[in-house]
Amino acid sequence: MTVHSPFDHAPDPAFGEALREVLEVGDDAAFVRAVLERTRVAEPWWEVLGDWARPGVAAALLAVAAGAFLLGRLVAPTPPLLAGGEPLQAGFEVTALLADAAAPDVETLLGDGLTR
Amino acid sequence: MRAMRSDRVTEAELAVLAHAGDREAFGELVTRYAAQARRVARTILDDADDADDAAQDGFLAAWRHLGRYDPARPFGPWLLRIVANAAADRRRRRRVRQTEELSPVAPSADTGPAAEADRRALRAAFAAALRELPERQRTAIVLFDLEGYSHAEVASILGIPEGTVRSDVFHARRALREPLAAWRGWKERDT
Repeated sequence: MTVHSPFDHAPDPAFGEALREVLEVGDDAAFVRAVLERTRVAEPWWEVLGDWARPGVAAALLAVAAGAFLLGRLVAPTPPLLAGGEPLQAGFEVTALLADAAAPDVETLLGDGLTR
Repeated sequence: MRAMRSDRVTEAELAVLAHAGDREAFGELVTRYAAQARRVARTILDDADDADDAAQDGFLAAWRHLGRYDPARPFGPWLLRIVANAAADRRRRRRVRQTEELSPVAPSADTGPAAEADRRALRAAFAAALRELPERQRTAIVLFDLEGYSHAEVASILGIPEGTVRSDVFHARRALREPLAAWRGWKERDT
């Protein structure tokens, strides 16, 4: 501690140390927790809703997409690639080919199909 | 205590993040300034619980008004001004508590329980002298000598001219010099 004039620009460490000891405030961690808890409680309702809205909207979009997919599958069944009993080509009898003891000639089959 | 973000993140950046809704950034600011804010509030309010409540009020008000903070300026003085105002408001609302009157005690050269009582008495005498200062002088010397703010920053916190801050610090030191010398002399003898 020294003699000071009103024009001193530097803090006096002796005063600083004494003031720190007298104004000792204890555990800061509990204080910080209390402040953050108060900010959470004091948060405006629209910000609380906003926090919930983002994940809520994302989840809703996913649910709508999944529902639409499932509904689409139920309402419009996929048509079969080949209808039962329909010949591959008009005039081409599969049963006649199977009944024939001799193996069918590939060129005859292809040629028959190409000429139609 | 919470893990602190890197010191490279400036307080202005933290304030901007906090204003955008980043709670962790605000938590970091609270962590950095908790001790200062509590001491400033304690300077204005004698009761420790009242002071902590006022410091919390100050942080809450700062959080609500982060949009008014100018990131080009230091964050500490802006925050501490709010805290000091919150403490002053609380003091005005409540009845002033009667401070304990302490008569000066001449320190003894003994050690042991009597010496410990002397130490406590001298510390209490210094604390009493601090409490007896006008509030503005008390806050000015705490902000200048303890917290290390410049005269200009103290002036911005207290909303008074810089010359008044210099005068307040000078008068506060003059009033506290004697009790500090007694306490400090005792401490030096003890060590």
